[in-house]
Amino acid sequence: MHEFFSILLSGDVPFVRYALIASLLSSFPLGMIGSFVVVKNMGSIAGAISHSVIGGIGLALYLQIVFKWRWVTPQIGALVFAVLSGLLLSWFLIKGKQRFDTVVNSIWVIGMSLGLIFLSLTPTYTDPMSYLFGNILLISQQDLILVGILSFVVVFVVIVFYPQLKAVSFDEEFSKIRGISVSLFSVVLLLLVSITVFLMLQVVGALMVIALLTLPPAIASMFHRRLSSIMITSTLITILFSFIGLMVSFLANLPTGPVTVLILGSAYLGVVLLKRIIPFSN
Amino acid sequence: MKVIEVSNLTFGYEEEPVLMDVNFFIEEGEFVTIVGPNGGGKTTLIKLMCGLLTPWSGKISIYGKSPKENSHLIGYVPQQNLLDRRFPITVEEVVLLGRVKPFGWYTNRDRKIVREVLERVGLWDARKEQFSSLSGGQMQRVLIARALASEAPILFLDEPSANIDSENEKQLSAILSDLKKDHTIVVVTHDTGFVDMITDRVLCVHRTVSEHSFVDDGLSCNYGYPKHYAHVKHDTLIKR
Repeated sequence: MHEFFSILLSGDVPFVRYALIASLLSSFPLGMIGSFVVVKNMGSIAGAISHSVIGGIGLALYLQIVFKWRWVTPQIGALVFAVLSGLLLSWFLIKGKQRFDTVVNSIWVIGMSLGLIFLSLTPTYTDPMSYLFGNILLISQQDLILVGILSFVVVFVVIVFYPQLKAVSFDEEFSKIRGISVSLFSVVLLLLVSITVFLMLQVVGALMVIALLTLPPAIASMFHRRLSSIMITSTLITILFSFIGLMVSFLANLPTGPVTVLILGSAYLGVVLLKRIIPFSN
Repeated sequence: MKVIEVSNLTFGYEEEPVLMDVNFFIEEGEFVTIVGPNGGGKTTLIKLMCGLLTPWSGKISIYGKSPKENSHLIGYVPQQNLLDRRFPITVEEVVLLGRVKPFGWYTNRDRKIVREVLERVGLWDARKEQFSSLSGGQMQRVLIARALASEAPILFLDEPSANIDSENEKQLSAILSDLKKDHTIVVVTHDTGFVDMITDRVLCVHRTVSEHSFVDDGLSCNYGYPKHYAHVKHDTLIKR
């Protein structure tokens, strides 16, 4: 553990520090948006967005290497695809007459398939594992700035529109009668989910983001009766577990995403079991 | 003064109309009970009057304007079983939703009004309780308080007596008869018993709307109403 802290502070290996800063910055949007995802049962929507992101990463790498478009980084590809799938899902949610879960599943698999096809078309060897499960070696200082800005945007929007977002999440019809634009806030919420999914992409990877988004609020909701308290507690849980995950993965030389998710998942199951044995109230 | 006016209203979800050629009006301060068979269009009619659904044809006016333009004059109490029971929200927070605005946070005035309405329905002491932990009757009172918090002169209640026991039903009818003093109230219900002493008029919705009058002639209605309405007449279609 001593080794981990000295690495954090040393100037030679900045990537561990970058990964920690990225995790801490994203913990706030993750805790807030994750709470909405859990109380509104939007887990599969978040899953679809996070998997569609792989399509964006694949396309960006393909354009970068085959067409020499240097500026199309995997991060840009991921963010664009996250936002586009968020918008597409909002459109189906508001206007579509299709079965919504079928739409969600389609976006999920189409995004992932696109990504894997583009990766296999890209001539130089690209390792999809980094993007699927995270790779803290990929985090640059520029990425940190982007993560910082986007985290601030998400937190700001949630705080400013908190009463409206909560009202729409609890009772759409009543909110509509009170003059709230339910479709606008549905789009806003899905876009916030998209941005939040993008934030932790490099640390934990596209496949694991959904766990970090849903498990901390799931734990927090066992102890609280208010949405705002769930948000605060799950932010703290996210901070704690991404720190532990990063440390353990570094010391054991294992990928950060799966290690963090495994620890977090065990904690969740542990709390669920504990609650069955000792029923404490919330 | 006619507060609610519905003329030549037709509406359906798919191709078949659910409501056809509906005409009626409600005067200020009236207490109107809407009855009718399942699937007859009671809830649909309430949602149309709230502006949640748009008519195929015909017109609905609330204080002279469309329901969407005058939605701030409408206090809506939905069927409680349609709400997500697992949502983490306290009683006070639910009632605050009645004060939600298109932009901005709740003010001290909003909180003061929430206190007044919670006291009016007798649930101020339960304000910190989780909404989902309440009994059916308490939940109903919270939803009424939320509608009251909107300070709207019209209240629409959809099946307020569902899921509540007879003790709570008495309490509910006491609250409604108190609210009658300063509101125009429209209640959709299967069970007219708890409102039979306060109802001014009974409308029956079954594809269209007809009024039950209290006179003893004409076709009597076949649905089971309490003794008070034993001689309801079911053939007077109100035409303007």
